[in-house]
Amino acid sequence: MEPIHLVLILSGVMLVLVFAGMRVAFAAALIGFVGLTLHFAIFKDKGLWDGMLTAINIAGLTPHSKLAAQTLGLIPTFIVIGFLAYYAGLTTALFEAAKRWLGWLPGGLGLSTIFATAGFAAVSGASVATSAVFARIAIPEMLKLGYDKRFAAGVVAAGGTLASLIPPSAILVVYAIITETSVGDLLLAGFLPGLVSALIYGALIIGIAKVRPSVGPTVTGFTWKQRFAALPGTLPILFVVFVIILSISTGWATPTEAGALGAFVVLAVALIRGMKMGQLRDALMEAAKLSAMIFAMIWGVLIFVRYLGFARVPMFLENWIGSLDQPAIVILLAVLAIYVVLGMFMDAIGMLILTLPITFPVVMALNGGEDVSKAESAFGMDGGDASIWFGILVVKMAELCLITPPIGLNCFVVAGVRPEVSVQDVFRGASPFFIADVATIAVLIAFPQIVLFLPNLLG
Amino acid sequence: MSDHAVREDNSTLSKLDQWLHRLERWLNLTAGILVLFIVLFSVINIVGRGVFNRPFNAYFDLMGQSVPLIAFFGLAFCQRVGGHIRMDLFIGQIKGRLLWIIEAILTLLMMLTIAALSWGAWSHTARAWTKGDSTEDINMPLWPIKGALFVMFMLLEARLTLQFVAYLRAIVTGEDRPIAIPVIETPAEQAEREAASVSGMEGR
Repeated sequence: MEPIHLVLILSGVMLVLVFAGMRVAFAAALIGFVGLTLHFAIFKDKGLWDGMLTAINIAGLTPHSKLAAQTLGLIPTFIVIGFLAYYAGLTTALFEAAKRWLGWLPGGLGLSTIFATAGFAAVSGASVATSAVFARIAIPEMLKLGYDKRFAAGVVAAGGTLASLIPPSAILVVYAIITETSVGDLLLAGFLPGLVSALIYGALIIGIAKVRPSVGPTVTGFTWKQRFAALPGTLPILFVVFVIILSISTGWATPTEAGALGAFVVLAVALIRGMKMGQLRDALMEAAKLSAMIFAMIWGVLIFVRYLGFARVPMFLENWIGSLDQPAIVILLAVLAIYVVLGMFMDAIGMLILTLPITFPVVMALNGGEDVSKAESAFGMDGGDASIWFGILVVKMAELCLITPPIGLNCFVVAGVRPEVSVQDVFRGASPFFIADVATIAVLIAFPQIVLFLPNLLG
Repeated sequence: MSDHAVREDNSTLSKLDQWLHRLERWLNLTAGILVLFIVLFSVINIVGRGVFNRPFNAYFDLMGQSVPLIAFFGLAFCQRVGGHIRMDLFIGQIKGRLLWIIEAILTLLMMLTIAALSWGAWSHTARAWTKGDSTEDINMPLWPIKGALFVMFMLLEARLTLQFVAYLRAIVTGEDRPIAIPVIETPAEQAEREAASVSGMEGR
């Protein structure tokens, strides 16, 4: 037996455990530990006991050695910004501003919802929570104006997915850690694709409302004075975006410091608006719990990654990809298609963390390796750019699974908040946006410059 | 993302569960306060460097060592409330004794994993103590942080053991909603809980 055979068997066991319902973080850690034990016992002739002791040593070191990094402070910081943003009243302010500026267009309130969620995405990385909040604010207004309920619900479910791409996005930081890509560059890279996604959603909404005007009537009658009056409430969001871009591009603060400054401003606004101590405690409790959950998956999977490293899996994948006859783009599309299927059954962040140790080296190898130059690469970009580009693509794929049946969580949340809309209604309403997302991904594959422009300019 | 429902009663097992939960909640809140700490500390560092030209040389060390604590202080709490991600598409369909048997097996596997990691975390703590490992900038000793991780692993082990016993008890009694373990929710129930957890936030 070769080391790679053991990897295949154990990966199969891990999949069985995950499908059987074992918590992803612990399934990955267990298989990593067992893999290390067997690897040293069988292939390094250490015997089972010594193999296990070596594995305990390696696995036991991983959580501290991998987590003790200032950059990782970004994850809890971004999470806490999201929770505090509700208390700062940013959601209502955004929706009101978007309504006054965009309401006159066909499907005006739908359009306002999309751009308000996109704006909110700039302070929150939590897709599901974004959908839940906007289901409460936007859907009642849309229904009152006679909007089609499927359309209204679909817009909110899809709008929530913008949160993961537009920074601050915890999921992008997680990707950066697992793949050792620059956090700052990735965060910059998320802006334009997030904007493109929002614009494509917007075009779709206008298109639908033009073909069937009854679906989404316009909202008119706002004066310019009223429009400008709605803007100050959204300033904290502009500040967060500005600070992150400025700090990363000029290097005057680390991404973690920039995230912290954003969190501080949102906290101050929330306190000024009368957030109570109990609410602050709840926000901190939730942020801590979510951080523990995400970090557990990170250290669990990194133990598994250590095992893959000892078994020389990245090298094996590189050779295997090199031996394939298919064009690189076909294999990339196949990898992305796997995410669509997996996304139907798995949580977005769990799916990413679990699969990246395999898919990332595959895509890097496809492009010609991590040190490949732009001229020699398959996708026309050097190794560093390819890792950023793939990051944005997979995060967009992971978002897609939030609106696909059977477990598209955003759709369930919208239906949960609005009893008058059934889950089926939401899934149906969201289906055009699925197609829009596929179009977005196609655009990002065809024009990688959209992803790479900002990091290359400012990073 | 509020807590999964965990049923409680007056039995010894449930009382142990509630006692442990109090400790877990307190530790989770400590992690939350640490998050606030890294936010404020970063802002102070920016101001110190930018305005007074005096950055803290302890900044990177303290920030770096805070992250493992944030990651681990909420670990057992997250397990108590069923917060760690899993795929319940399959297990959500099963009911009664078979469900409790599968849960017990999965919990046992998790206990074994955490036992191995605790062992590893302990030996690294001992090594950091004897060799005097410290951080780069301010020479902060590392054994307290590594030791804290070991303690948190042990706390998680205690939580898992308690849940394992609760599952064994459920296998014997065969009841639908046993005490001391988080109940699996359908996506709809999960959504309702998510929705409830953010209600009242948007109208401010």
